[in-house]
Amino acid sequence: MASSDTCFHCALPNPKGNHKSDYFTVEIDGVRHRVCCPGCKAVAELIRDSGMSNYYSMRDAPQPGAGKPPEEQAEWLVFNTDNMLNAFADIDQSVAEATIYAGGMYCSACSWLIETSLCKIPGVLSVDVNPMTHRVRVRWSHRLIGLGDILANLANLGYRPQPLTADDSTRPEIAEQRTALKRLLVASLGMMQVMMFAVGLYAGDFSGIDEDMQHFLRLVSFFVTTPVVFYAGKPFFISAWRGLVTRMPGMDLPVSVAVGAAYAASVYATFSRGPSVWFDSVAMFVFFLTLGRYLEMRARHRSIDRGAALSQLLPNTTTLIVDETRTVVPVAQLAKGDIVLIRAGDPIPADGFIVAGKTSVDESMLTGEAAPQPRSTGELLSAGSVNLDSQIELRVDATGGDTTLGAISRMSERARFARPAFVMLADRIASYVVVALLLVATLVAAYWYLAAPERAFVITLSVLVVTCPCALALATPAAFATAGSRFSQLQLLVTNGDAIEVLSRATHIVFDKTGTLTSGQPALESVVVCDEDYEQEYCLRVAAALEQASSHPIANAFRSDQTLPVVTDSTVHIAAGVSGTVDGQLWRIGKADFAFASDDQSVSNGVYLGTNGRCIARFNISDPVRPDAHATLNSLRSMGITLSLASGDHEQSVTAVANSLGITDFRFDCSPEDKLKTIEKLQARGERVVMVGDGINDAPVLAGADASIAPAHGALLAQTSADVIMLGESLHPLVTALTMSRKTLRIVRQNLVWAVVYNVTALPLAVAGFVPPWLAAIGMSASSLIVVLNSLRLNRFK
Amino acid sequence: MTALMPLLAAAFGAGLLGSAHCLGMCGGISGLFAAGATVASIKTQLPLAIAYNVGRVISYALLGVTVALIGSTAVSAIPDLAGPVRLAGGVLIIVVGLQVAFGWRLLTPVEKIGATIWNRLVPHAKGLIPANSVSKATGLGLIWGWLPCGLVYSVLLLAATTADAISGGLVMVAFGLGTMPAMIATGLSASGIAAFMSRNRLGAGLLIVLLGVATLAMPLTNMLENTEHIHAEEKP
Repeated sequence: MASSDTCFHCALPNPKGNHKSDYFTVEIDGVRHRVCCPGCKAVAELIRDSGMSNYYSMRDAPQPGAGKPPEEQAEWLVFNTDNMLNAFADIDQSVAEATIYAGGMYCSACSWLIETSLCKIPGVLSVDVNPMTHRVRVRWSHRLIGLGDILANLANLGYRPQPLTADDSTRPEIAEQRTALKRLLVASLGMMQVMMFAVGLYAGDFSGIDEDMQHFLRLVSFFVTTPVVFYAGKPFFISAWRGLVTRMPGMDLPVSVAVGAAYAASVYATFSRGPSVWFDSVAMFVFFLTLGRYLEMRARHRSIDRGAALSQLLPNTTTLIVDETRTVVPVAQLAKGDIVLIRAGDPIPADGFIVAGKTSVDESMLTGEAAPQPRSTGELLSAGSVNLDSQIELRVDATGGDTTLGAISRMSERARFARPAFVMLADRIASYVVVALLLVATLVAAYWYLAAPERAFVITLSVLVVTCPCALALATPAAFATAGSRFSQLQLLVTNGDAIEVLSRATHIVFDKTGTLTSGQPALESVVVCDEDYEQEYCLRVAAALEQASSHPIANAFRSDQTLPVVTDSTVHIAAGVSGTVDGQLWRIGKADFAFASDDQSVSNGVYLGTNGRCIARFNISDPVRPDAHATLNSLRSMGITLSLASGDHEQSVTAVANSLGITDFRFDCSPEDKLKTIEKLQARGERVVMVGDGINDAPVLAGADASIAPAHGALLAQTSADVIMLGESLHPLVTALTMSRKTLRIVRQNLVWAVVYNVTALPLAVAGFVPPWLAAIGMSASSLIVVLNSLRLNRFK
Repeated sequence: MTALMPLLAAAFGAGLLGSAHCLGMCGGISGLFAAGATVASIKTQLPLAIAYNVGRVISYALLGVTVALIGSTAVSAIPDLAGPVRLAGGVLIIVVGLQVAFGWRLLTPVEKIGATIWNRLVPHAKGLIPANSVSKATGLGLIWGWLPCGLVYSVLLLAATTADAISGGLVMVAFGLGTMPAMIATGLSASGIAAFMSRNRLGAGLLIVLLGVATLAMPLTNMLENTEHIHAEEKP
């Protein structure tokens, strides 16, 4: 319970002394608590009278250790050692800072609860809670309390805390975002203040103003504008300087020249009591520029947030079960085959199969699928998904970088560093425009200096500000960044930024069959034994044993839980089958001509088991077409895209699939070379070809197409090299990818047209002296804000 | 107009920088919102948070208009009051700043009086919880504006010194707008801003004090100049 020194409701100190007038109390559940002020009393009574008193009981942490078995307390004390502190916290002298994942946190009330109760612990300096990512960031004095105490406290609140290591890949963005926010805050507050003073000054210009009053307002404006220019505007100066040094002048150069000159001239005018100051224009210009940059940065970060968030999804410790004893170990120590215990609300530490228990998991971070997925014994769980319902035991199958999560993170990383050629082109153009504008500004200055020297400065300033090519420079990256983040929300992982542009102009799609148009999870339909010497059961076991060596999707149809006979010298023959010795006999399984050297075309369907050139058994395998394949292909056709099918499979099954989906142009028995040739032939005809396939055995085919899209999940993810990856089981994201790309390019074009039209219109007006600096600042900001906002429309794309 | 600007700025600043205290007290309100939905998302929470805050600011504006009317009656009744009231406004801003900086509660007695008004409104509030619709959230905000709160009362005094109904209302609106970032942030639990502000309470308070000094500077220099004029006239 809250002590009588602090307010029961808000936890701030109560007024000192027991004088009756300082004493406010509130009765909750029959207990009288002291609160600090009539306000808290009023709110507390309202909460009580609305029947929500349990808010307090939920929020009040019992003393550490109360009501919990000692071993669970001891679990957290492990973290009080210096080793753990160094591993999980950033230490700056006596202050430590760590990020903790709080499993089981679901609403904003939780974050309030965590904040309030952690702040009550002596030694805790600050607590930030993000309910969306379930992250708690704590700063505390590590000489007073240990990390373990904080974790124990969170655990006592009913959450499952996991300290997270500071991931290097995510830190710079967080820091960048924080400083950007601070700069924006300074710029906006400063701008508002300066505008207020400016209103006074302008009013004074019209109706007359006392000179001292005017001087006072200018002085105050000077004080407020200074931090706006040098703190909020710092990035522009730095980037302008960098541009000069590298001889690649960016849009920040004219910005810096304008801000610097206007500020300097205003300061001079202030102290020499000159005719006019431009503090309002300066502050406004810096504010709008900062706002535009901030929005653009948010869009950019959101697209990589996913990657960053992914690497943060993993807990750092987990409970390992060895011979029924449970120990907390770092996740990094897990190895394939370990059994771990995962409580409800905890993230899954590694890819693995459930060995005990039944639950539902949240895989939204991996597949975008928001609904909880039921999972029970034997099913695969992916690292980074969250166990929702109940405690399960998991046998670890893959850890770290080998997990699905690891693969997605790597690919997000890849996409993040690649700057699409399109964006680079825009940058280069902007750079030429900048040089041209600086020349124009110089000419304008020279002309007006001769024609009307007293107006020369103001007009040059307006020209510099109004023609700032920010809109031009932001047009492409803002749209691409927003598209990137929207793509990932739509279950599409773009690993190559150039793909967006190519997809938008695609004319032809070549599909692979197995695992693409079909689910890629072939099932054994029936078995026909051709040789009466062998039992069906035995044939199946031999087949299963042989297929263990194969990574072909068809091998999955033979997977068996039983103990299989031992295979020696098994060999995988690409596009043919598998051979191996079982019980002293050489067996072959695969295509008919491979299994028993048959020339008979009529028996080419199915998988054959043969030995000594004789057919022993035929397995009929069916691989059903994906449920949404029909609708997806129809949508693609209606978008004017021609469809082809090129498969390594047999004539019969390929024809069946092609016919059922209405594809007239199809090829079967294709080797990877055949597929590549098909694509090259189309390209020679001037088609822009997109290859859709899982790319497991045909990476060169994917690389040969203009763009490639792979449906991938689970283990396949790690192996694919496609430009765009469709997460999840559905084909429909394909349509989304194409329409979204088209939409993105349309937005880019709109942005560019707008930027050019704006600059071309504004320039002559400014040169002629019709645009005062404040209007120039508004015009410039409006033009680039329009570009950013137009790009953000992509976020609403469905 | 020019005289009003610093007051608006000060009221805004008091709201913005002083709202760290409100977070402790009103943070629970986010719990009240969340009670309506099982999983709170930004999309559902933001309109509610905004509606609630708009309601609150409307109440503040009403209060501001009321006290400014009282102020204007007083000023028109006693002609010599106008100058001193101006000064009082500047002093008040400084006091508000000091309250924010050092966590003083000078107006606790007034809060108790306010509590009696609040008690009449509370029965209406109960029907609005959980505030899971925009209209309910607005209603709750309207009532919440009357919550006994020293900071609100301090700024109300400031509004009264404008002695003009519209200016008084504007001062309170500026104050309400200032409190919005923090209050919306609690509603959404984007607690970064809140933490930032409570860490920098001292600096925030002193900033408000500075604003107060700046506000005082003008009427003071005017007064000094006036006295100089008088002296100059006396000389010959």
